[in-house]
Amino acid sequence: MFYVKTLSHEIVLEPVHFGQKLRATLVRLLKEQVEGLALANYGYVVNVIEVPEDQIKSGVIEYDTGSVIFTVQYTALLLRPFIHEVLDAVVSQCNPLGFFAFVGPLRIFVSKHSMPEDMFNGFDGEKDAWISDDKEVVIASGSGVRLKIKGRTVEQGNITAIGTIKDNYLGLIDDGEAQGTV
Amino acid sequence: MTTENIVGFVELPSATDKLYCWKVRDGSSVRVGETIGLISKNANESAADLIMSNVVVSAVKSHKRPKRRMRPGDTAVAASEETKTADSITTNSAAESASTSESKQDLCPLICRADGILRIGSPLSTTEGQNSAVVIGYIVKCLHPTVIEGLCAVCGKSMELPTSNNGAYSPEKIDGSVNMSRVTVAGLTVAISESEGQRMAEEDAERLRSQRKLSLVLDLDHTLVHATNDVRAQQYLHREDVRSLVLPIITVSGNGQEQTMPKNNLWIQQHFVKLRPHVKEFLEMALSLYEVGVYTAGTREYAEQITMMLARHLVGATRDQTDLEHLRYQVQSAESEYARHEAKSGGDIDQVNDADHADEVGNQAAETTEGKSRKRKRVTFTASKTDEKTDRVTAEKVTEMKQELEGAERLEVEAQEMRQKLFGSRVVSRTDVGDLGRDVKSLKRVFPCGGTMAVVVDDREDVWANAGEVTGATRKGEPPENLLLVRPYHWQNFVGYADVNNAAGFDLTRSENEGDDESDEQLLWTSDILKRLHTRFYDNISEDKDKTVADVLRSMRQEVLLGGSLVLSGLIPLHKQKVESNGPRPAVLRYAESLGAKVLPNVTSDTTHVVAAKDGTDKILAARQIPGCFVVKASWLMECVWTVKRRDEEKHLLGPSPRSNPANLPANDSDDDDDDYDDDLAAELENEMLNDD
Repeated sequence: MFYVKTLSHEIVLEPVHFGQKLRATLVRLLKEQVEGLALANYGYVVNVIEVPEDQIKSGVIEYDTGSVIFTVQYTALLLRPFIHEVLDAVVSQCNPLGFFAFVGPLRIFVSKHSMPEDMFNGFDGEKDAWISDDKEVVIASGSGVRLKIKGRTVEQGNITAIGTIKDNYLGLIDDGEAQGTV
Repeated sequence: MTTENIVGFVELPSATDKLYCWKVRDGSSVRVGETIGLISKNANESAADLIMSNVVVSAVKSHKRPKRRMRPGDTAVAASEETKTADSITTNSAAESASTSESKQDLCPLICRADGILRIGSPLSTTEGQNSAVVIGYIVKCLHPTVIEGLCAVCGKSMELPTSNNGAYSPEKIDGSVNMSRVTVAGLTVAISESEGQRMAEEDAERLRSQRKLSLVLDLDHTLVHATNDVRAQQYLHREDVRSLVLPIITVSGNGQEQTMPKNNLWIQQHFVKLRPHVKEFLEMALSLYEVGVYTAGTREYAEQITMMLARHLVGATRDQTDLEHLRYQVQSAESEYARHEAKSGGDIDQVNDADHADEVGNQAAETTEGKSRKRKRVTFTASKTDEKTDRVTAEKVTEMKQELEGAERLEVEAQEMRQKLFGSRVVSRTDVGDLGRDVKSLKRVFPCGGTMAVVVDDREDVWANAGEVTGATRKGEPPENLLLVRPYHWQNFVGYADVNNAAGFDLTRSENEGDDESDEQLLWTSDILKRLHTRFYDNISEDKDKTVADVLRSMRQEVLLGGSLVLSGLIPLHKQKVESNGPRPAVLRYAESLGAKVLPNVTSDTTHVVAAKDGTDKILAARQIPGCFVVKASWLMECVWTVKRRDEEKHLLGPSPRSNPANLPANDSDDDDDDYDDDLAAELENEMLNDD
């Protein structure tokens, strides 16, 4: 789920920023550019923890534009779905094919084939919810579910994963009626 | 179970092992290297029967649910949960009592050897185990029923879908064997396999049949509403059927992709929408007989707002989203002002405090506030304006406004529910089917393997024809038969204003004077057609299971002009007159033929109608010779198409009515009549000339 890693990023700095606050500007720009980004194999960058001072080396001037390229190394907190990982997520939308749940910025889709047999036909169009045969389990927008990640893909700057609630002890854990967080 | 699908077996490594438990359930997807169970070594008995029964019992147990978070008022639920888990624990222990005595150190993982779906139990065909190992389960290939964003929704494997550039209907192959087609459900475009599509279609058909409903797909622009973003439309907002909505601005970036400006960018524009007359009756009828959906060329936000607007219209709520927020703000500010006013006056005038506070119950409150303010007027010299303002904010007013707000909010909630009931998640917009482009609407996206119980109501045919789907008796390049064309709706006050999404369909009767707006009856006509269609479909449903909506519509249309023999004049340009067999026919020709009429190139004695663009052509002159032959404008044919009924020719005559039809008269008499007519005309001219002199 979460892990820390040292990454490096290139920042292009225009000459207007040169001066006393160069490093501060660099750090600020780095945070702006990188936080929230989904990197291909690393996952979402949730937060830039630290930019070690000695790691900001001198920048290289680009001949064409006059801007300077800094290669900055930083430690980041990353969120990445691992296959077979069990996560708690919040359901955002139910549709006839399954439902979408979110873990922060990570979107997970659970198809009807990955639900227990007693929920396979349980889509209620009126209430937009998945309901089990014995009506005990109601998965609607806002409920919390425990799911297991089966696969993931990164496209268009977003990470989408496929999950399942078919195994034992997976499924609805929170009705979502109160404003509680998962 | 076919054996070709089996890609692997789950075996116990040696005969003395016993399965402790399964880690995954029957039917779950598994991958190579995954731990799917635990095996205990050093088993006391190694009888295969015991193992099998153990295996089967473990598999049959129902899905264990996780322990739910406790909420303060949830004691009842928690109690039932407790008993459930208690029951499962006892059964668990009963079945595996033998293994409870095993020490935990003897458990080792059972590793999966293949990718696919796990099935517990032994496959029917093979009872001889490979290498004399005991087979307790097998793995079948995942059929990849749904592929979303390039991942199989069941096994999570990444699948490459080749993108097709010619739009809608091109089945794509995955793994070289499975046909996938794209489908859009609830704003999501996924690819589903053929078998999955068929299963969905059967489910839908079952559901529709059990409710005795059919499926209806509606277009929005120029069919149910007329929308514009021209600011001049603001003057009409006072009307009940003109609403406004706010949408973010869309720009088209370099590579042709549409981008919506982010919401906080405030690049929004106000749009104005006029609802078509009779839309309320139409939707109410549709709600009872059809499962309604929307397919629009607008964006997702547009579609959601318009559907919400229609729902509000149905429940009688006149306040739109912005109005409601405005009202809330008003009530809030009134409340805070009133509270402030109360606090101020409560501190100021000490003498009247006791009496006033005692009287501050119900309707006395208004009087006392007035009394206080009066007193304040005498005492203080603060500007009279503030006093007037506080006068306005009396307790009565506040409660009044609160009640108004409550009523409006209640209506809004009702409208939300109505929208859910009416449309559900069956709204398809341009953003959802982005890869199709602006000019293509494809029925396969909504009904991948069906559409036999669906009717489409749209003012444009070409977008449906552009999808290039050929079903049943449709010719290539022509729109599908279950499309009900309607007259494009233009509100005369909005004429000349910019169109929001796409232009209206081609209207042959455009040049006619529109007359009063409320005389547009198209929705009533369509409502009638849909009612007839529904009755016809479900009347003989037991006899003919395979009847499709297209068939019923075709038979309905064929009856309209049956026996009619038409000649078209001035409607088809010369270069389009040669029709290849199985090629697309010009629209007018297609209408006439689908309505059951024969279309001939020249006027003969059998001709019953000549449909012409303007008077004075050879064909018309020839037709006037024939008794009983109507010379009508194109509007007659179009109205027949729009109402699926034979319209009164007298209302669409081009020129004088046809001569009466003495069908048994010999030919020379008609010649005589002609001479008489000419003689009369000559006589009249002579008279005129003489009289002028």
